[in-house]
Amino acid sequence: MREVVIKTSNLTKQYGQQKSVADLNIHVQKGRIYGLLGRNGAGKTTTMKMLLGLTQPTSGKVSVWGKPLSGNEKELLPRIGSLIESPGFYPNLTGTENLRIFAELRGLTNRNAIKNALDLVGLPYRDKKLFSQYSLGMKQRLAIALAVMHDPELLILDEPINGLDPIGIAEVRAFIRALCDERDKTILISSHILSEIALLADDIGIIDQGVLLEEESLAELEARSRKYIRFVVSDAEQAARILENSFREKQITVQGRRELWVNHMETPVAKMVSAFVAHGLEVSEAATVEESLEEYFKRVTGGEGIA
Amino acid sequence: MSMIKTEFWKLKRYHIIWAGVLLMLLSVLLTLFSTTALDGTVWTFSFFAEQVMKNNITTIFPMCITLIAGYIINREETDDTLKSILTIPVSFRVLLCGKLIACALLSLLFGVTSVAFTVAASWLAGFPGASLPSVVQITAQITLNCLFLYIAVMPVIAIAARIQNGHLIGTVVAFVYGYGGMFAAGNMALANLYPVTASMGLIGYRSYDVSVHWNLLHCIFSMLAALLITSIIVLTAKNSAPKKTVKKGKKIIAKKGW
Repeated sequence: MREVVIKTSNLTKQYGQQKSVADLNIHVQKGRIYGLLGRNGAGKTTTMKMLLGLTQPTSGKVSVWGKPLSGNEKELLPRIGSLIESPGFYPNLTGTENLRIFAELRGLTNRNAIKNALDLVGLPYRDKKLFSQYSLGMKQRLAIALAVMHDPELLILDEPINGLDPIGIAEVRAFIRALCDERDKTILISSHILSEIALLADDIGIIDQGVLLEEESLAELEARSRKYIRFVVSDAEQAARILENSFREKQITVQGRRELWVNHMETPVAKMVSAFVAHGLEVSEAATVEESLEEYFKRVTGGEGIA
Repeated sequence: MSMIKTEFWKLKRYHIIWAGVLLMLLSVLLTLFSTTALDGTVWTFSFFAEQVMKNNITTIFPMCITLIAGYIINREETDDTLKSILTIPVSFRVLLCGKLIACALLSLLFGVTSVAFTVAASWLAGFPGASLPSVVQITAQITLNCLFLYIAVMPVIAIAARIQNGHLIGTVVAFVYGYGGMFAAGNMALANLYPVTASMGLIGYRSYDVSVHWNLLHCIFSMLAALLITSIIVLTAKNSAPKKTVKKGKKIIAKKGW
């Protein structure tokens, strides 16, 4: 087990009667990318704000590198880089001028820190364009540059690919992956885009209505995803009876008049097909189906899937 | 130091500063307009400068600096930069302190601007009596008066900073507070203690006049009291931005029955 960088214990945030985050226990391991996945309004941003001390929890604790965040902000926060919600900068200044302000406030002594950060995200150094004239993608890149400028050990990124074009998304994804693999950074990233999390994260936490439903490594989640055999036959009801009688197969789901799912994977497909044919049924399709992460997400959240 | 330095960097291309410059010009133009009255007044450079100071004190400057300081403080919320500052971490208190100090320096700069407009207007209007010693004296008086006026309205600015979008309310309060100086000036005991008029005492406004008796100790006490109140407000401020007030939506009256 790797060192746990972020640990929350029954973290709860309540606004009036509404619990935005309820008894959240997440564990972000060193040198890994943790993807916090959930729909809009699931409680991802509130969680991240509590992890950064921007919002005080109603109850529960946040520990970072084994120390409680509360009371140790001056020691812990400088080691963290963050991007929360939309990028916020001074509109009357250029990107470089904006970063210069935060570099000064952070007391950065490395003169190349600003240039390096802008180079990393593909923005020009000392460009004359004001932040107010930036496109949404450029704003997002500048926010990422701000998050990494002081070379933090831990990055907390809330929906970092928002507003980026497809090439930008791929670049940021590669960049985040490289930060983790090459520089051993620990990264907590949130997204409502499941495919992005699936492509990037090592560990996934699924949050829905403020409750953490699952917390597993991506490999474990994929292994846990359901597999089944799907048949399309001339008579699904009769096919189900054949499987019950011939193979004592009980985990059968009839989907309409012609479609049949068999959840039990031990009987060979060829044997089942032979049995159908022997009883005079026509078999149009027979395939092993593996549940996608999206279908898995739908199942655990008990609702609609997300993009 | 970093806090103050960065506050000045943030002012680059910030249009609200020009509003301050224009208001300083307005004060001079208002005075210039009053010189056209045919009431027998003999206008000299020194007298003109005194009238500019009077307009600054009672009408323009308290409102002007409260508005600009309010914008400078409130922008961290409107530009959504506060979260990036708090996670450095820089506390809201330290940020507010830095901004208040930067605004003090800004008020000196507005003072210098006012001097420039005053000297230029006096020269254009051809008022006599402008000499190097008188210009130096007026420069010191107007500039320092702006600083003292800023200290006088600092409690209003600090309270407004604790209220979401409070700078607009603060500006109105500062205007009334500044205008109140006109009434306080009628009673010397009150004028020495009322912070807005105490700022006049500290620069020796019309001290050559036998009917004007400034009590320097009282004036200093008044300024220190304003500073103390400001410090208390800042030190007791929550370490986060003022909370956004959620506007209540209109009640939807459900129709009863069909």
